[in-house]
Amino acid sequence: MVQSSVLEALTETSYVVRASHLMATTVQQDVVLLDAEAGKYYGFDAVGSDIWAELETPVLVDELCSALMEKYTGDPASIRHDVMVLLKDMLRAGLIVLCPQ
Amino acid sequence: MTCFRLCGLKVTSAFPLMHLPEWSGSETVPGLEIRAGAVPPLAGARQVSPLLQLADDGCCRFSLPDVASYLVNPDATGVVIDTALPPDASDISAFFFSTVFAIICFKRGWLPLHAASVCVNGRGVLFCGPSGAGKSTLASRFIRKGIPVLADDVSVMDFSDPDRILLRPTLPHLKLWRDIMDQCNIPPDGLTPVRNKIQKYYVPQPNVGRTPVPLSGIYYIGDSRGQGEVCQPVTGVENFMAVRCGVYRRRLGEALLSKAGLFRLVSHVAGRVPGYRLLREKTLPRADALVAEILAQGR
Repeated sequence: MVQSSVLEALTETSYVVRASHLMATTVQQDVVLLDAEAGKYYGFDAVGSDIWAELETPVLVDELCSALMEKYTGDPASIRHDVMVLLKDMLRAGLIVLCPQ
Repeated sequence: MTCFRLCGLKVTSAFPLMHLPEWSGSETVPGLEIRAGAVPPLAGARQVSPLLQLADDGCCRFSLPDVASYLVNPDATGVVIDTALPPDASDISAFFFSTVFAIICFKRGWLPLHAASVCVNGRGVLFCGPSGAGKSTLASRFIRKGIPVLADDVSVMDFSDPDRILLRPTLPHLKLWRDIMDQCNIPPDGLTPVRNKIQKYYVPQPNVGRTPVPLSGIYYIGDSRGQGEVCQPVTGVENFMAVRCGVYRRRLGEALLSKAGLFRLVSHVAGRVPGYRLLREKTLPRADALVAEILAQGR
């Protein structure tokens, strides 16, 4: 269980990266993850898959948001908000980790 | 000892195996040997379930009280059956073709799906779903078109070819309810009932395929719940989960292969084989039209 202090530490100046213990596969445009330790599966649609692709190596959250704003049309503030919500969910589920600054 | 054919393997067996065709190939070495013998509990083995043990050396012991204990060797080339029942007792065969067969498949690197399959223009088409979904019923509609049946309850995928997924032919019969047989003009005379006192029969399929064929598509069968028949592609996460849910004896597969191992096989299938969600109505009113659509796709 990820502590709330870790979730609160996630900001746009954080570096995040995929958790190393997960298995991943791409099926058509989606990504499916397996956390074998927890016995849980996760699925991302095309947009989530794009975000997952960006998380292969440590990435600054602010730069992640900028990359997505270049790729997708939409209100920048909404995109930033939605990305932060998704990243918090992924952090809570143990799919990503915060990198030391 | 009698020699049978199962999934392309030459099987020598001390037990009569229900409805398997006799072996007629040129191979002299059996791919699977089934013999009678003592099968005591495996000392120090992991108890995966009340009925199943897994030893560190890869042996599996499946034991069903009052029926038999089955020991599968590490590479699934041999099975020992320990039973007090007569060798031709139907329960021995019935449980061999369920859990023991699944063990053999997983240990050989094959992936069994809870599916009936037919061969359309040299390519395999699967109808996947839980018991009662209508797999055999739908497969029976293809028989009327002279299409060979590859499997009834369990379809077996083989990954030995790097370029395509192959389907291995399994049991050469369909289990059909009497009303479906009546629709197909198949009389029950001389046929073995699946169980006493129910109107469901093993219907031999003499036209069954004998060689593995490439897999071209999987139809996942569900109940339309009166909303009308639907047939639409499934992709991505939905396709992956449909394959995963269709794995025969999935928990057994995870125990034998690990969750990661099964994940890899399921990923392989979902990424390469088109899937379709087929929500059917009870009476299959569009069955013939659906068969025609599938046959047209196979050309």
